[in-house]
Amino acid sequence: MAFGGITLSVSQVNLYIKSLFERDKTITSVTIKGEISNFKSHTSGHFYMSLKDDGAVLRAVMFKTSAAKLSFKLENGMKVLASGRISVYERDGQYQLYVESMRLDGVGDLYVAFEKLKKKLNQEGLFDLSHKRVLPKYPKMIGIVTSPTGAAIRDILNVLKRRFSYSNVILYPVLVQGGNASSNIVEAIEYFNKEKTVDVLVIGRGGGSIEDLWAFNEENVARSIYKSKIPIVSAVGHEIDFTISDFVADVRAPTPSAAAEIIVPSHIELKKQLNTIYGHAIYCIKKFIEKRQDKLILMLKNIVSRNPINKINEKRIYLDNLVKIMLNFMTKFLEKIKKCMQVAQSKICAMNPLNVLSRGYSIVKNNEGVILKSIDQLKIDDEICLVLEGGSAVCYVHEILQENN
Amino acid sequence: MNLDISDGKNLVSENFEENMDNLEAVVKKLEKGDESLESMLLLFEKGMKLTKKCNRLLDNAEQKINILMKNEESGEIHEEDFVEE
Repeated sequence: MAFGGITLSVSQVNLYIKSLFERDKTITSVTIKGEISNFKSHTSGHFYMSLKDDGAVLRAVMFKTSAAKLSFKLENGMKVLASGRISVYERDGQYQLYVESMRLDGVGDLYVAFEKLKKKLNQEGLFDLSHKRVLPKYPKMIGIVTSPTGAAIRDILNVLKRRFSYSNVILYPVLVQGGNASSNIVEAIEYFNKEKTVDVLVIGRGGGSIEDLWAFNEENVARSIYKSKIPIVSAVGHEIDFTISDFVADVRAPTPSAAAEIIVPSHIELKKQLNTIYGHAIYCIKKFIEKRQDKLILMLKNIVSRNPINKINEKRIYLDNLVKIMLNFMTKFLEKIKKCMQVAQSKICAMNPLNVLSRGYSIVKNNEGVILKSIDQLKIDDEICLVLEGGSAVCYVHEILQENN
Repeated sequence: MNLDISDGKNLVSENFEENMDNLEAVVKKLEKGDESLESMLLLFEKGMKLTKKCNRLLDNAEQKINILMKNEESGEIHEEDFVEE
């Protein structure tokens, strides 16, 4: 058999084939659907793997710069859509896919994975309300776990500055997407728990696709949130985005800005509250004093009404009254007596024996002035005094005429 | 909570939460009003001081924002002022 055609070295033929590949428009920009197997993450940062389907296998490599942009962690068995170019690795005479970007084939699978993990962790009790810690009212130190260049940190710091500048902030910069994001976030949570420098932790990022947010749906992140002694607020994406972190965290904030609003009170509100408390304290002490004042007045009234002087005065008035009554009575009595006396006097006057004299009677007295009532009291020659109206006469008894009856 | 009304020691706290908690407890006692007049006046005075303190803490607060930096060689982490990009 003759050696036909041209003779080429191995290197030459591989180089030639490579040039053929690179002239082809189809395979220099292609997306290939397949399942990852033989996945290897090299220390250099490059990823090596195979893509396979039911019938065939294709080698693939993803260089560090592209690998770093991946929003999820590659694992064997994952169904992916890998975009890049197919070319030849001359040294091995192997053609392979040089992957520039990759996304999960069928986001539906992500939702399935999400629901599966959610159910599992829920059953394990990672979402239990009883495990939720209470956020401190006025955190002095706030730990934030997010990207130092993202929108989330900007939003959080803006709100914090505006609301409550009393809180200091420590930012633990992490990747919030890509294969290393989840382990990065776990590291941050563990760091803060070890250092115990902060009162509350916010973990989160701005909005993005489900793949972008995927780190917050990873089991290791969920578990480290659960284990954390420091209360954690999860603030991932927009209001409509729910992640596993949201369920495990002590509080879910719909957005990073909202997280800031949740963890610190408003300066203005606090000032208002302080004002109210101040007013209330003044009101309380005023009321307290007024109450006692009222009591004092009441007691004073009581004491006054019980003053013995009052009793004495009362008695005095009573006494005065009595005297008045008595005087009244006495006056009347005296008047009555006077009248009686007058009557009596007139009666007595009528009975005066001297009055009898004017009617012709006379009174006989002995020389001692004794009124003589019987003839037996006289003897002859006795000196007697005869009293008549207008005077008296001294007489001598000349004769006694006794009546014999 | 230490609420010894004659004791002014816990007035020196620089912790806003502690001061606020104390203030709230003082006002609760004032509200109840079952202390002696002297205690009430002391409580009131304490409340006024705590209010002032809280206000001052709020007014004088200056937020500090640090970012943690990792030394690539030693792996040690230290704080630096955070400058937004």
